[in-house]
Amino acid sequence: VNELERLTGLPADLEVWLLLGYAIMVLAGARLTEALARTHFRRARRSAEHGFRYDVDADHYHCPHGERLSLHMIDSVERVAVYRAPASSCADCPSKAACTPHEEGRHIYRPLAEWAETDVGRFHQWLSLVMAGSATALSLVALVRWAGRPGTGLLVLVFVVSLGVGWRDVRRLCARGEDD
Amino acid sequence: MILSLALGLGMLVLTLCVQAVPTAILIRIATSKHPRSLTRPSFWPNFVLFQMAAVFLALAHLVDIALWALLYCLCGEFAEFEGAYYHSAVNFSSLGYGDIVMSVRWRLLGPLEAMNGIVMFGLSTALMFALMTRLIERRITAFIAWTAWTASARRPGFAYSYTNNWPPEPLVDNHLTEEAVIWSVLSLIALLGGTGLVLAAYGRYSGLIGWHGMEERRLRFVAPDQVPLTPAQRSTAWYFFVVAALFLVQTLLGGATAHYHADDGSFFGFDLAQVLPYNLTRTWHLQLALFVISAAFLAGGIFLAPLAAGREPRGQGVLSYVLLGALVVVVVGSLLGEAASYHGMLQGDNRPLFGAQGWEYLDLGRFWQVLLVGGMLLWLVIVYRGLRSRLANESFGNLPYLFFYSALSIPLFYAVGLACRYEIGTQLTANHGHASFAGVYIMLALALLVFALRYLIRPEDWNDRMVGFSFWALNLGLAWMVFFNLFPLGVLQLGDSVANGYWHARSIEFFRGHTLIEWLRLPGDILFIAGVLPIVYLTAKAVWRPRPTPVAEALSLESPLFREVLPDAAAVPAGGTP
Repeated sequence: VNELERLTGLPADLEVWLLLGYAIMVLAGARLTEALARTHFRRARRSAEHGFRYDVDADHYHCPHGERLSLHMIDSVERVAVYRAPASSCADCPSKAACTPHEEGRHIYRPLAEWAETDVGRFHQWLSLVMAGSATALSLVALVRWAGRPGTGLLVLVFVVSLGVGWRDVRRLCARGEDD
Repeated sequence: MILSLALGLGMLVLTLCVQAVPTAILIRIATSKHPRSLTRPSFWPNFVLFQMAAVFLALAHLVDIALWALLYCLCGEFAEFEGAYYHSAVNFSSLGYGDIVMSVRWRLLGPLEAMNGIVMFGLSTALMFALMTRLIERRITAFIAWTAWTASARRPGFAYSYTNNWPPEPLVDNHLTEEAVIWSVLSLIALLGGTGLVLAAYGRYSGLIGWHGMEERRLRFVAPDQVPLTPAQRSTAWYFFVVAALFLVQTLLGGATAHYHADDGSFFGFDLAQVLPYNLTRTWHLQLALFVISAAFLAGGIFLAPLAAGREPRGQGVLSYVLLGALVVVVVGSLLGEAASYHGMLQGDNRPLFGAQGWEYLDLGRFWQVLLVGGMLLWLVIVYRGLRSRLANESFGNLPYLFFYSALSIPLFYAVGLACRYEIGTQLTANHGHASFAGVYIMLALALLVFALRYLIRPEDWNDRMVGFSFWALNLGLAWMVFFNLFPLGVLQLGDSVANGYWHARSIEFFRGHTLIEWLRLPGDILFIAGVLPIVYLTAKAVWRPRPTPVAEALSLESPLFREVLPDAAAVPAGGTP
């Protein structure tokens, strides 16, 4: 075993490689989960206004039949902007049954909160931080166990990368706190 | 009289001959060695055999009755066969209506026929029973033969056995073959890839099917202090307090168990093992998790049923308190029983009954298990009573029924779980336990608790920040536990188990070699335990200072908790600060 380590300069101990793999898995897994959740968040938002076109400059929607939904109100507590079509045109619309259950005209609720501001977004950011912290602490444990043996450099690298990723997550969460 | 007795005896012999025909046929079928015999371990052949047996035997009995009826006609008691047959059937089945009584000369024939009938029915019952035993025997034999064959069997002329164990058993020499490896890997890839394809297709095309573009419904919740509560709903405050208290004890025991891994000598200078040895903290920790979950689900069911039904039958509150009392008896009794067992105070036959059964983890005595299942059935009665008025008007596929079915499954699956949740291996299993049990079921239990608590507590006692703290502390503490400690240590243990053997991976030496990783889990554990405290505090408030609410006999059938709203532009006009 020592001969192998001497020739290749790589650690022969399984634990070092396991740690490396685990750190990559944890760091990448956290980002991947976060990305998936964000994608799902956006898709859910899109599908709520499926068929409707948002005009950014004029700040109103157009329905598939061409009717305009103008800004009705902004709910700053729920952080949502509400748009509404005229009740009279919805009443005569052939698609009403598949569009709105009300007699007050079709409403669209446009969330004003960004992904990171939502509860689920914050949850994912904290979870990413905890996972980066796990990788950091684990590489520290491994360093205490294996310091001086071949592979120490690899462990230091894992430690530094995990610490950096964790620090970035802390900064991200702090930046959100300042905005609030 | 002598003549009657002689005739009765003759009839017994005659009916026995009749009965012998189906009996002989059925015995022949049952003892057949043919592989396609009706007794082979398969549902439909067994079903046909049983139907055949029942019909044959019933036919034979009808013939017996007819023979007796014929005798009555010959004796001149009846002019018509139909009346004779009816009377004979009444006698044969020992029904004894007494609407027809034969003349004094022949009346002894009646009881004699009844005796004959009892003997014949007994014979048929015995035959059916023997048949059933035979079927069960065949199934057991088939099972034993099959498992023995599949467990290890030499395959003549080949270098490998029928089985592909990993790690292989040297006594059987059942190494993995190349094909086994290749096809296992391929099928795993196909399974994961196929699942991925289904999910990808769903993600890509789900917009085209079902709901899309329909207006979102906005709901406004009724202020919690405006919602009336039924007596049973109010009783759940006590349940949730018990749940929270048990959960706190459960997490503290978990902390003590983890501490044994970090330092098995002493608990910060105190010899904890004298009072709470490792096996006790671990058993209580696991068992309390189950109690916490089941108690919270029971309370959740009791709280939700009136919301679904719109009203509550009388006496539900009392029943609910009875169940709570039973629950406390089971929890306290089973925990004390285990402690007494581990401390050597409970011995002999009473030990598995009231103390510890000797399983590694879930150890409660059989008496408590039976009591617990009984309690769950009582709960089912409560939920059924609560939902009955609603179920009467619903189709079997609708939501209230689904609610009832899921209620039904709790006692059923608990009873099944008793049989299989007794073995556990490395920290990977603990990892599974914490991620699924705590991560899913405990969190779900707490969600039910917080949902109900919002309506049980006085508005001025409710505290959003405390509940928020609990949420973050419990989730992040659990994430630290799982990602930093349990999973990685489990992997190391798995490696040790392959290298040095399973026994070594579970030995105290292994844990003594990994104390640092155990110490570093402490922050997560403390965070988790701290997250339980607000829950205990708030549930205690709900018990000591219950919200004064008019007792509701009937809730509004339209949901009492929320109503649909349209945004009111007058309240927050457009152009307000976002």
